[in-house]
Amino acid sequence: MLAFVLAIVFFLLGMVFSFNRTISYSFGVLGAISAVVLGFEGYKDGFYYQWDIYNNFSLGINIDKVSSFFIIIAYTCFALIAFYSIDFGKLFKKSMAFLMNFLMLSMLIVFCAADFISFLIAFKLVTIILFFSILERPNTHKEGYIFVAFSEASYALLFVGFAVVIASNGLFLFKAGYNNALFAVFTFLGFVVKMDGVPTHVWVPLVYPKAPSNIAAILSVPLTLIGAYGVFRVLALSNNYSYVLGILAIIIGSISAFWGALQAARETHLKTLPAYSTIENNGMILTAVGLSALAKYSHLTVLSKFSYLTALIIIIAHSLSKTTMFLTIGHAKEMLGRDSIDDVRGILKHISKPAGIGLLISGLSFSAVPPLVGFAAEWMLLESLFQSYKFSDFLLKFIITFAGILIALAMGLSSFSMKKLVGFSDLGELNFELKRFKDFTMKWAENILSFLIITSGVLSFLIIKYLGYEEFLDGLLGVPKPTLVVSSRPIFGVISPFMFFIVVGFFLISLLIILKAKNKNVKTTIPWVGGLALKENEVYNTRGYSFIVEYVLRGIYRTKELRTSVETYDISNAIYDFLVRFFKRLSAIVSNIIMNGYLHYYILYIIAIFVIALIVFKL
Amino acid sequence: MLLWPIYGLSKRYSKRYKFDIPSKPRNPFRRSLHVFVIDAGSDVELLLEFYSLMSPKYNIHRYGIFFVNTPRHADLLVILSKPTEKMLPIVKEAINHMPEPFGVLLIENETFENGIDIGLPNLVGRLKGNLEAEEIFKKLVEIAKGGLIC
Repeated sequence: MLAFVLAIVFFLLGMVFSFNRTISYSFGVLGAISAVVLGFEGYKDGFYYQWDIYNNFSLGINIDKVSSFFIIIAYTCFALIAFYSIDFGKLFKKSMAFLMNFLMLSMLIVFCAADFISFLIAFKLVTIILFFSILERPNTHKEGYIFVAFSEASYALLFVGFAVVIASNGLFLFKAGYNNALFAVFTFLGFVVKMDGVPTHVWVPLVYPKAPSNIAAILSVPLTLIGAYGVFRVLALSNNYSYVLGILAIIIGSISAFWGALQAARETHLKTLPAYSTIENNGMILTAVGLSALAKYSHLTVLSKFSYLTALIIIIAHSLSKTTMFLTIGHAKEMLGRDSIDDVRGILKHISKPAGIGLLISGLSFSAVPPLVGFAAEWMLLESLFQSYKFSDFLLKFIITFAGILIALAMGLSSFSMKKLVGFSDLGELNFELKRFKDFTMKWAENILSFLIITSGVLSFLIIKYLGYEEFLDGLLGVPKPTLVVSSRPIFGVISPFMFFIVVGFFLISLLIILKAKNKNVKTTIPWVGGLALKENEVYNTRGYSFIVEYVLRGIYRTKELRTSVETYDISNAIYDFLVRFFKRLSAIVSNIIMNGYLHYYILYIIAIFVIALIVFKL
Repeated sequence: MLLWPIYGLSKRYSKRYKFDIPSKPRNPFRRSLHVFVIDAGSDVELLLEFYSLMSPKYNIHRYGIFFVNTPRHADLLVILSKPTEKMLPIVKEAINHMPEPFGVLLIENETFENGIDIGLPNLVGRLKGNLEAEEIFKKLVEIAKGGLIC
C-alpha cells in the first residue's frame, strides 16, 4: 500500500516539476518502479479498499492477481519508457513530461479501479492525455482526432455496459456486473475495440507513425494492455456467457492476428509495420483468452489453465518486445530524420550498438526464435490450439481448428515482416548523415529491455512458477526438474528454452569460435554496377522484398502496379470510406430537403417548434 | 516393355563419370578461360582491335576463351590502358570482386600515356606498343594454354 501512495506521490511530483524535464522524467521512473513493487505486493497478497459515499454509490481500489499482473508488465515498460525519455524528451516540448507523468497516474487508477466511476474518469483521462501527447509533433491533428474517435467508440460501449449494471441493481462496483448478459457483451466489445480488434484497427497504422516514438510505445503496449485487462475482467465475471464470449474472442482474435500479420507483410513504413504487429499480437492474446473461457465452459480445466497462462506469457512477450522495437526505431528515426525502412539502414553499424541489438532481439522474439520469450509464447499458443480435439462440441472443434490455421499463418507472415524490418533497417549498409544528440539513457533503456527479453525467455519457467502454474513444469529426458514447460497433463508437448539456451548456446559459441579462427580471408564486396557506388534506387529495397506477397495476394491488397512504384491498400478502410461517403451523401440529401434556403420552410419550423413546445410544457 | 524405365533409371543412377585429373594441376584455366575486360582509359583503336577478337575470324571460343559481363565470373581481368585517376578505384573494385585464383593482363596504349602506375596484383602479362588484334589473341591463347600460373 505504501508503494501505491509512493507511486502517486512520485507521479504528482513529476507533474509539478515538469519545467525541468530531467527531474520530471526521473520522478516518472521512480513512480513506475513503485508501481511495479505495488504489482508484486498485490500479486502476493491482494488489496481491496472500498469507500462507501452515499447509499449504493461507492468507490474502491481493488488489486488482485489480474490487475497486479497487468500493473507489473505495464509499469515495467513505463519505467523504461520514462527512463528513455530523459534524453529523448529533450527533442520535444516540456509539456510531454507533464503528460507522461499524468498518463502513468491515470493508468494506474484504470488498473486499480474497483468501481465504474473512477474507471471511466481515468479511462477518459488516458484518452485525453494521449490525444495531447500525439499532438506533440506538429501537423498531427487529424491523427489525434482519429485516435479520439476510436477511443470514444470504446468508451461509449463501456459506458452502456456499465449503465446497464447500474440500472439493473444500482451498484457501482465491477463485481456487480456478475453474470449480466448485456454488461458482458457491451464491455467485452468495448475492450476489444481498445485492443484494436479488426475492423476497428484502422487508426493504428495512421496514428503510430505520427506520434513520437515513446508515445507510440505507450499506445502500443500499456494502452492495449487496458483492453486486455478489461477482457480478462469481463470473462472472469461472466461465467454463464463464456460460450458466446469465448467464440467471439476466438473469431475476432484469430482474424485480427491474421489480418495484422497480412498487412505487416506488405508494409514498408518504419513504424506502421510494428503497428500492424501490435494488432497481430493483441489478436493472439484475445484468442488465448477466448480458448481459456471455452475450455472452462467445456470442463477442460487443464487446457483452460494452460491457455490462460499462454495469454499471460504472450502479454509479457509482446509488451517487452514491442516496447524495445518502438524505442529503438525512435532512436534511429530521430537520428536520421527519415520514415521509410529503406532510408533507415545500418542501425547496428552506424547509429548505435544498443539500438541495433535491441531491434534485432525484439525482431527475433516476434519471429519466435528460441530461446527468446516470443518463442515460448507462440509455442504455447499453438500448443493450446492443437488441443482442440479435446472438445466434444463439434462447433468449438471447428472454430478452434480454423483459429489455429489463421494463427499459424499469422506467425509465418509475422516472421516474414520482421525479417524485412530487421534485415533492412538494422543490418543494412546504407549510410546517411546523422544528427547526433545525447542518448545515454536511451541506450541504457534499450540495453535493459534486450536483457529482459532474453532472460524472460530463458527463465520462462521461473515466470510460470511465480505466476503459480507449477503444474506445467516438469523434468524429462535429462532436462532437470522445473525447467521443462509442459503443455498438458498427461504430457502433450514440451519445450525448454532454458536447456535450449545452454546446449545450443554452447554449440553456437564454439561454432563461432571455430569459424572465426578458420575464416580469415573473408571478402566483402558491394554489388557490381560497373565498379561504381550504388545509387539510392539501385539497392534491393523493401518493396522488392514484399512484392511477391503483394502480387500473389493482389486481390486482398488491391495491388496497383504503377510506372515506378506499387500501391497497396488495407481493405478494412473500405468500411470507413463507405461510411464517410454514405453520411456525406445523407447529409447532403437531408440538407437539401430541410435546409433548402426557402423562407417559408423556416417559418414552418418555427411554428412547428412553437406548437411542440406548447404541447410539451402544457403537459 | 515395362522393364525399360527400370533399366534406364538404374543406368542413370549407376553411371560413373571418369576424369583424368592430374595430381597437381599446373594451370587451373587450361580448359577454359573467362575474361572480363575493363576499359580504363584506352584510345578507340585499341578498343576496336580488342573487340574484333569476338568476331568469327579469330573464333576465340574454340580455345575455351569466353568474355563475361562481371568480374565475379572472370578468371582473367584485361585492363585496356593504364588506369586513369578516375578509373583507378573502379579497377581496384573489379579486382576485389574476382574469385581466386585470378590473373591480370595489362594492355597499354601506344598513342598516349595517361595512366598512373599501380602495383597490380597477379600481373601475368603486359603488352605495349602499336598492337593488333592478332598479338592480343596470341597472348590470350598463351595464357589459356599454360602461361597463367597462379
